[in-house]
Amino acid sequence: MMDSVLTVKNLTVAYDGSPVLDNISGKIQKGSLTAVIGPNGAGKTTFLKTIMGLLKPLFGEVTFGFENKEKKTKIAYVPQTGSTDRDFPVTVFDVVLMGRYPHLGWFRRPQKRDKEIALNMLKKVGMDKFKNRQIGTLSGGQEQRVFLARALAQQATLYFLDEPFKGVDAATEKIIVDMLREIKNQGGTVVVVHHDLNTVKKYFDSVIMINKSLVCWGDTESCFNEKNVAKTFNTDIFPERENIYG
Amino acid sequence: MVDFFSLFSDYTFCIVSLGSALLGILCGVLGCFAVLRKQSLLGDGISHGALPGICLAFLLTLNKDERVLLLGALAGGVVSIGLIALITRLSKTKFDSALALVLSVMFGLGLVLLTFAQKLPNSSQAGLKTFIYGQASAMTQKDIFIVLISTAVVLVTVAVFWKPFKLVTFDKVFSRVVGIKVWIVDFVLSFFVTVASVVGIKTVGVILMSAMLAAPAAAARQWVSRLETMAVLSAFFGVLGSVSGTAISSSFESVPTGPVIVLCLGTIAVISILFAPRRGVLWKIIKRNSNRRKLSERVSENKSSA
Repeated sequence: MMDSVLTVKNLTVAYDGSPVLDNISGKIQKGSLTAVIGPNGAGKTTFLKTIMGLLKPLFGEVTFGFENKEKKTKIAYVPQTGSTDRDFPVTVFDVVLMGRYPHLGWFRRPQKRDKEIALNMLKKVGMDKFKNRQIGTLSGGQEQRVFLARALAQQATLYFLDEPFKGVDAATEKIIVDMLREIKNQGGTVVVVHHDLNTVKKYFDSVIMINKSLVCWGDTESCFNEKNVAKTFNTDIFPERENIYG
Repeated sequence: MVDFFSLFSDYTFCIVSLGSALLGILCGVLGCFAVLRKQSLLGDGISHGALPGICLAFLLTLNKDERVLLLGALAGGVVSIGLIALITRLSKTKFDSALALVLSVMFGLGLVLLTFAQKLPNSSQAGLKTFIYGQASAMTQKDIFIVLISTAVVLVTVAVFWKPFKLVTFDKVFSRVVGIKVWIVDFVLSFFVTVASVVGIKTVGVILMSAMLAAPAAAARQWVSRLETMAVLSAFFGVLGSVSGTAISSSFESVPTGPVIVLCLGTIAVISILFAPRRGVLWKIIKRNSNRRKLSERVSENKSSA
């Protein structure tokens, strides 16, 4: 049995008394690529935010495979595109360098090494040519790659991505998938909120299927089947999707 | 323009321009954060809220001492911020509506209290009215000292905590994930804007305070695309507007300094919006026209070759 890097126990989250997430439990193995799947409003983003400590659960607990005080360097987060002000006066390189901030603490300025790491990560996502551009001049896919590079620069062990493939073209999708696999190969763990059921089998080895309550949490092989998808999405009609369970 | 240069040997002019230049730096730097956090009008909310604070301080203590009145202004500003935060947090009312509500109600309260204060026999108006429009020419060495201390404290804090300030302004969620206490940064920035507004009331008055925060920052954003350079340029614009405003108003008889400073800052902002490279209106028009010309040339070439 591999080590688990994240354990969720009886997690229940409510806004104004009505539960958004109901009694969710499970473990994420170190070195896994996990997709969080569910319909709109199923609580996927809430799930991610609660795990990262941005929302307080009503009940239940979240424990990590590392000390709580290490959280700020060991957890990296890639937000959905469009969650920041595109006109903000900041260059691509500045954004990626922000990934080094948790390592620097409140006062220390970025050192030569931090800048090298940032530039390296920009190269990996194929955005080094754009390093002096203001972020608002980028396309959606390019912006997504820059925020991925920021997460990579953090050199974390646990990466959370909220719909990274939303609205990106095939080239960017490939770069993101390659990077996720590289993180995995280097012993990192990745959790992705994912919408495209067609690529679940291809990209991810584990799935968390939720619709307020948990439908299935485990490896893709055993969880991701027609029955569970129908249960998660409250419908059994996926005629065009016959071969996605593969 | 002999008159203009002889100004610099005039003691009052030097005091006033030094005071407003410092205020320009203070508001220029803080304005960058306020503008980027979409809180350009926060300064107005605070300064309008300061008026009932000033009047109440006078009514309660019957003291004309400026320090007492400024403490009242500070309290009024803090109450306004607190009310805005409370309204946005407890209800779904958006920041701009909450601000509009608090700003006008507090100012209304201030005007009512002002009427009471002026009815008091010993008030002789206590100079309370000058707070509404400002009275830069009445600035003293003591005032300079207050502005100097506030500016120094704010600049040092912003420089030391630059990274968290920048990060929280840019991306709150990421900031929280990497362990920054966002509410502390929010609170400190709001408090600094309060201090700047209260200090600035004496110069530009309650009503025009927002221009001091918004104009230099909005102008600076037009020319540069990094927060670091924007803050420096914004501070420079703040000084430029303040000193030229003071100089112009001193060159004419009985022209109020505060409004002229605001006009100068406004001119800088308009010039920046029109003429800045890349982001400026003029640049965009030229670029669009040249693109159109190139395109139509290409289209006609295609036609003739076909």
